[in-house]
Amino acid sequence: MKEGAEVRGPPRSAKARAAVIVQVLAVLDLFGKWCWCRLVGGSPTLKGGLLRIALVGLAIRLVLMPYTGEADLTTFGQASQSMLYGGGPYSFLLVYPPAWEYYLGGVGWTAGALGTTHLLATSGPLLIYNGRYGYAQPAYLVVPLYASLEKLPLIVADLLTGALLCMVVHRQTGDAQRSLVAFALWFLNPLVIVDSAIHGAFDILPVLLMLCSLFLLDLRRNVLAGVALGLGTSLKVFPILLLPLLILLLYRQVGSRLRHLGRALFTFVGSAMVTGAVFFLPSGVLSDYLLYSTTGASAGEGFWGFGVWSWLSVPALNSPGRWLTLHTTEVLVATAVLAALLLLSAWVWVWRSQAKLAFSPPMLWAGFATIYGSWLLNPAVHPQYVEWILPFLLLQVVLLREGRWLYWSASVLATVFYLFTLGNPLLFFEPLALFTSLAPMSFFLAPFPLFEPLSPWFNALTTVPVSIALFVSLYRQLGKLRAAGRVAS
Amino acid sequence: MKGSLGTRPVEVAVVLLMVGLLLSEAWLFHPPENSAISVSTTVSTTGTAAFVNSTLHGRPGTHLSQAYLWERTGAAPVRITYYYESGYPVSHVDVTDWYGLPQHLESVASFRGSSLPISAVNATGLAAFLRQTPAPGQVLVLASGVLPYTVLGPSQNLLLTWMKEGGTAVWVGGAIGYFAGEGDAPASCPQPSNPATGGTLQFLNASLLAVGGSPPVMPCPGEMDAAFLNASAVSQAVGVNYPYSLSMDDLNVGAIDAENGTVLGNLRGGQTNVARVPEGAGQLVYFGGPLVEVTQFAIDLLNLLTAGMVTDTGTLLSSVSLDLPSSGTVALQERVPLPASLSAPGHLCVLSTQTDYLAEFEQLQCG
Repeated sequence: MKEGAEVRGPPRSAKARAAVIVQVLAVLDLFGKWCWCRLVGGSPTLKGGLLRIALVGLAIRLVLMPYTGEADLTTFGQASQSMLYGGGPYSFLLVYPPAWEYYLGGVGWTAGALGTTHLLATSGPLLIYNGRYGYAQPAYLVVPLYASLEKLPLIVADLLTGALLCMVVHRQTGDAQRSLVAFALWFLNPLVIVDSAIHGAFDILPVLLMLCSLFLLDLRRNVLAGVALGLGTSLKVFPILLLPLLILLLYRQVGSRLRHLGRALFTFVGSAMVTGAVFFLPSGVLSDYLLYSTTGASAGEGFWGFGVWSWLSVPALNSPGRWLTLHTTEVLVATAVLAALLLLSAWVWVWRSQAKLAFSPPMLWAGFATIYGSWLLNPAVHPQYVEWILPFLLLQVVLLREGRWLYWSASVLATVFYLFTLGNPLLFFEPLALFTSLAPMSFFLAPFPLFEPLSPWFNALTTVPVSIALFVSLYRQLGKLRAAGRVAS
Repeated sequence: MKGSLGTRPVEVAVVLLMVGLLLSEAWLFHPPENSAISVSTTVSTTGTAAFVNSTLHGRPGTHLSQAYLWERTGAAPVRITYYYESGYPVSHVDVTDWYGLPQHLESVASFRGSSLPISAVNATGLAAFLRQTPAPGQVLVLASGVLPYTVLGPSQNLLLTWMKEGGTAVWVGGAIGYFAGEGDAPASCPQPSNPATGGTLQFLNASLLAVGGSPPVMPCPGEMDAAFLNASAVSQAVGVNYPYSLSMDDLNVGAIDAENGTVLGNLRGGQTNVARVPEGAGQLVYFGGPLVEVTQFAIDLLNLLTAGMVTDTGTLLSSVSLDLPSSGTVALQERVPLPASLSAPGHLCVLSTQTDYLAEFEQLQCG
């Protein structure tokens, strides 16, 4: 190559960047208007209420978005940085399915195109604290532009999920007020806000796609429902757990005529598989994902969080927790059998209930049981995972008028866990010190030694009650599902 | 509304979107030429100097370093032996990082288009490995911060014996020799059964340690009161980012020089956090701090391995650091003096490294 060949031009000017942003906003505006028409039709009550709730929720998120984040966002930034430097989707060894890796690559590339090629920064005090407290404290933080680019689509997904839940309630009840409540319960839920706008957790994307899949099956749009399921599973694996339920639903909707059923199954499952293949099949991606997701970063992870193993996080129970960690295979086999029995029972009762609508009561109970059942196998159920079951709980609150206590306790305690139990209640706000002159880094780091010894107790106090409440609810919901099956048959 | 083929417009749009996604993936992960780094180098050598002409090209703002190294002829290719056993204790290392480090090493090596043979040994296997005669090119990586009882006990120190016979070991985590552990028994704060300071002093002379011959009791969790951010000649030239330290592990630069060792890490005052310390016929490459930021640690270690700094087969002659300008291209012409003190037969190598955080690019060209 000759010297001076392929010389890049100067970085894009601020004016050019602003023009790009205006174009993007224009497209989003158009899309928003289209969604708006589909959603509220001519209901003025719904329209005014939705607008106010949406503006409040968006304002909170946009204020929090650029200058918040902690270890997970740093990890995402590191993966994006690695891909921006030319690495493949698994060059940084994240353990997520490939669609999320591509998303991070896209975010890194976008930041690079906007002139920011170094996505992370650090400071002496941060390095010292990370060296002292290890993984509990990130030593690098993502720059505000990266945080914003990573979180913006998640915030849009928050909004779309709220809109979808609103639409579901409106379709089933025709009640504008209850539809509005569904939207508000979602879009102003503190856990949903913290997940997307502070943490930068991407669980909202598979949650939205899982709900889309259910909704689209009700509309008989099997291909789109399959694409949504495939895309959701390519981001995080849990939506695929609903496949048996969705197939049962298809059967009830289409009937038992082999030709119709075969066609419905072919279009739904086929489109889901093709979508998955788009992400998993490029060379080496599947093998890398399987290697890292089965042997990688989860090794040595203890039992904690909001699943059924939460009680082991009580500090006094460290010994049995450690014993179980060392006997993971035996524990896994035993719990896999239990989970399989639980899920099979739920699916059989849904079958007997003859539910034909995706958001009918048996489907809501079975959806909750299916997701929660998988937590039997998951030793560490992180607070963002609570978002997976939240739509089922929310629809139970709004449509069936049950489980209000559970919905709020799970949301609030998971948020408290986020903000107070990671060793430092100010952890998420450290970027304010690194990227602004609003406060010195010592202000954010000083409480860490104070909170660190209290952290295990806060941890147990927030997770164990929610875990018990969810387990009791599971038992009750399975009881209702069984009763529904008996009545129908 | 259905289209003429019995499909609906939205479905068609989704299919087109999928095709677009496929194309985007292909494009995104095969970056266009002008965003990847390329280095072309020619080397000519006279009796007392070498002349290096290079053209470096990449994204504007990229930080690069070019190191000129004297590589000893006949150096054996590096093979790594990695100690890991689930259930054995760790110190200043997260279990996940201890387990995952080999994957990161393989991944970075793969990105660079080379393969790095890594074989794992457990605690029993480690003892057996250390009873064998060290093989050329063999590097033992110990990244748990705790030696197992099978290797270090009241009456034995297999690791030290092995290094003195010519073995090369890399250590990261809590102070070497301070803890000795067995399976299912986590190393906690100092216990009578741990070798403690006496164990550390078996590996590192008191003069090497910044805290001297009476190191304080090692705290748990570890004490880290400073970040090492000032680059040394090697860390700048080869691209070693590692900024961590534990206060009782900081090493005196003067003592390292006196023992014919090499400062490999960053500096703070008269101390460094990474060094190669000779141990008889072999050596210990000592990262005096916790194992964190494991991907960057893997990059640092591979950079040192490629440069021959771990196995002491490479000698740094000089280096150049540069930031790529807005044109993205820099032409370098360097005259590298070859000192008469280079007694070992060898050849000049040019190591080009991107020194940005998490950047994996590195290229070695030998004349």
